Amino acid sequence: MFNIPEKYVGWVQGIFTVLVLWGGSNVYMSYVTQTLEVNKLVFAFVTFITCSFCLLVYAKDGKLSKETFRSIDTWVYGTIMIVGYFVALNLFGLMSATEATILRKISVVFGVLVGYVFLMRKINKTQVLGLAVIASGVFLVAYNVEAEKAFQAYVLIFLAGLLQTLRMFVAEYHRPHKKATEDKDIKSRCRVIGYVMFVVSLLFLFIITVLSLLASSAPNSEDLTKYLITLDDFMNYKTILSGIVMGVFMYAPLRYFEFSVTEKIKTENFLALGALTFVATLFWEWSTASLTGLTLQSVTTPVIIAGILITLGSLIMSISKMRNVNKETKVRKLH
Amino acid sequence: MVILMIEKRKNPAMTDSEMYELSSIKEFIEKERRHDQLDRLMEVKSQKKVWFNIVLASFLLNLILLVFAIIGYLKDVQ
Repeated sequence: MFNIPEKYVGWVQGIFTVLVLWGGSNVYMSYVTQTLEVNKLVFAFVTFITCSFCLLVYAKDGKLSKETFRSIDTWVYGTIMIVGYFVALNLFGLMSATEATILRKISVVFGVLVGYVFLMRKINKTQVLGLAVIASGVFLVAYNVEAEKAFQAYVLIFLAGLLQTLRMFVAEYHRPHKKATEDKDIKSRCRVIGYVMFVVSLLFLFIITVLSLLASSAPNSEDLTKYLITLDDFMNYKTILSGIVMGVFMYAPLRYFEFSVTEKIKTENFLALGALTFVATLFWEWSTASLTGLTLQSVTTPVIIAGILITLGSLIMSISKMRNVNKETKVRKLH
Repeated sequence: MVILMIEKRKNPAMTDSEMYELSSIKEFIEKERRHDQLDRLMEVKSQKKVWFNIVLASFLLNLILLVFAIIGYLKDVQ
C-alpha cells in the first residue's frame, strides 16, 4: 500500500515506535492499573511470557540459545528487567501516564552519571546542560506530586533509577546479549531477549507463588496476601487478556522495532526521536480519555512546563551525541 | 606399503545458517564423516532443541493462561 524509500524505513519505524508504541503503551499501563485494576504481578508475568513467545517464534531457531539460557547474567539481567517493569506499572498506577513518563526520565540522569563515574564514559558540557534541563523537569513534577502519594512516588522514582543503573551494568557484561548486539542481526537480538523474558517470567512466577504460599500460612495473612497473588488473580480474565494484549501488540513489537530502528538509523538518532515520548503520551492520554476513563486533571501547567523541559533536554543530549559521532567518524576517516 | 585414504567430498562445508535450515538434521549427522562438520551439526542440533523446548513450554503456558481467562470469564457471566 505504502511504498517507502529504503533509506527512510528506519525513520518511519522510529517515529511509529515513539509516537504510537511508546506513547500508547504508557497510556495503556495507566489504563490497566487504574481503570481495570488488574493484579500488577500477574499482569507483568503474562506480558513477559506472551512477549517471549512472540519474539521466539519470530526469531526462529539459531545460535546463542544454549549460551543465553545457561548464563547467570541472563537471570540477573532478566530479573532487573521484570522488577523494573513492575516498578513502572506501580508508577503508572499512581498518577497520570504523562506525569509518570516525565518522572521515569530520572533513569536518564542516573544512567549518565553512573556511566561517567563507574564505566569511564565521557560527558561533554552540552550533555551536562541537557542533563540539568531533564533533571529540572523531573524535579518540577516530583515537587508537584500530591502529598498523599508523594512518598510512594519518590520511592518508585528512586527504584526506577536504581534499576536502570543496575541494568546498564549487567548489560555491559551480559555475554549472549553482547554477542547478539555485535552480530547486528535483528533475529539474534530478538531470540536472546525472548529467552531472557522466558527465563525471568518463570523465575518471577516461582518467587511470587512461594511468597504467596508463605504469606497465606502466616498470621494476619489477609493483610499480606492483598500484596501478592491468589489463584483467583489468574482467573481474572481482564488481567490475563490485557496482559496478552500488552505482550503481543505492544511489548513484542516494541522490542523488535527498537532493535530494527537502532540498526537502521543508529542509536543517537533514535534517542532524539525518543525525546517526543512526552508529547506522544500526552496526546494519547488526552485523545483516549473518554475510552479509558483516565483523568487529565493532574496534568497542570507545571507538568506541561516539565514536559517541555524534558523534551528540550533530551534533544540537547541527542544533538550532542550526534555531533560526537560525526567528529569520531571524521577522525577515523583522517586516519 | 601404506595407502593413505583421504576422504574428500565434492560438496563444500555447509554454513551455520544452512545448517539451521535443514529439515532433517539427524540424517546429515548419520551421513557426515568430517569431524569438524559433525561437531557443528551436533551444535546446531542442540541449539534447535533448546529453542523448540522453550517455545513449546512458552506456548503451553500461554494456553494455560488463556484457559484460566476463559474459566474466569464464564464464572463472571454466571
